[in-house]
Amino acid sequence: MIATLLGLGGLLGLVFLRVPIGFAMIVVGVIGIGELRSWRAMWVVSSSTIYEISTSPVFVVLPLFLLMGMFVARARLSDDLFDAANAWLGHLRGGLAISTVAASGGFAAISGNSVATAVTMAKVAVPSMRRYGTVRRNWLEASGFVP
Amino acid sequence: MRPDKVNDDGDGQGVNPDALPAPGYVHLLRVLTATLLFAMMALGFVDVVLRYIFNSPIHGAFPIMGFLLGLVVFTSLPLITRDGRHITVDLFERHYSGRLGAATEWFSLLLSIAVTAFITERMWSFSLRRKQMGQLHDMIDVQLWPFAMVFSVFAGLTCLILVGQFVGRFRSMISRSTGNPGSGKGPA
Repeated sequence: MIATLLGLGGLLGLVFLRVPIGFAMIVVGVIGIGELRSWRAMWVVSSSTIYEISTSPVFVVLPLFLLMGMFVARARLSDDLFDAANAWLGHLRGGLAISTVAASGGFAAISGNSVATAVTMAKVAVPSMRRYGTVRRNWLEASGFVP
Repeated sequence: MRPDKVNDDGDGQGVNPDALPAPGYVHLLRVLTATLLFAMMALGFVDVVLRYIFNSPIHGAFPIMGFLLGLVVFTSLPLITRDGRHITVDLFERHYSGRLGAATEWFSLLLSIAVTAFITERMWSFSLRRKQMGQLHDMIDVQLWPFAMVFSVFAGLTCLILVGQFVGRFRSMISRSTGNPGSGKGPA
């Protein structure tokens, strides 16, 4: 329990010190395995884990969804999506935020993957949100939970 | 950061890659990454069509896409590092000013160098060990070690880019402290 809290605290500390999130997770994971198991085990496990995670077919969808998101953005389909969502929901209080979540819901219905939706919609939605005048990152973060 | 260097692709983060002079290896890596990504997409599309329409999927499409994913990740790592587009949390960025801000940047850079050096070493030794064992993939008869070696090379390139940024900042700091601005521009 204490090790978990220390690991979480260390991760948050590194992240808040502007260390890239991926690198911060590697540091905490490596130190955690080294301390809880052994440094020799960490040395062995780290290489196979880096290789296996990097080549895992499970994560193949992420770059492909990103690519699809870029196609959507370049074709300005995201503008149409936001125009439609804004026409339906824009008159409500916080309409743009609701529209963002609704648009993410539409994308999530297609992809079925929370991470891919959050990553893709972050790329696609921000220009459209900027067109309507406001960019709030927490709306996009909230929309990542929709799937 | 100058306004013309701010990335304008929507997320407001990082540096606009087109605003910086790009060395030859950057163009090469961009083309390579795009080609690998396209290959992943094409392979996935063809596999799904053959699987669901002709009931004849490509043998080993899944592991091949896994290899391609690893290559996409590691070929894009130097590009992302050079353009400063790693995902970071800027929640407390406004509180980091002056020396504290500089200290966090130095710390982040040094830790990034250490992590990429670690990945380089681990992938290199993984590759050598798998080469000794002659280990093949579980599903297809493909050796694992060449991929790990390529991953190691690109992780090493990333580490070199970070070291270059470190040296550039160090020279910039030295030239500022000696009152000779402009002589400390870092390598790309």
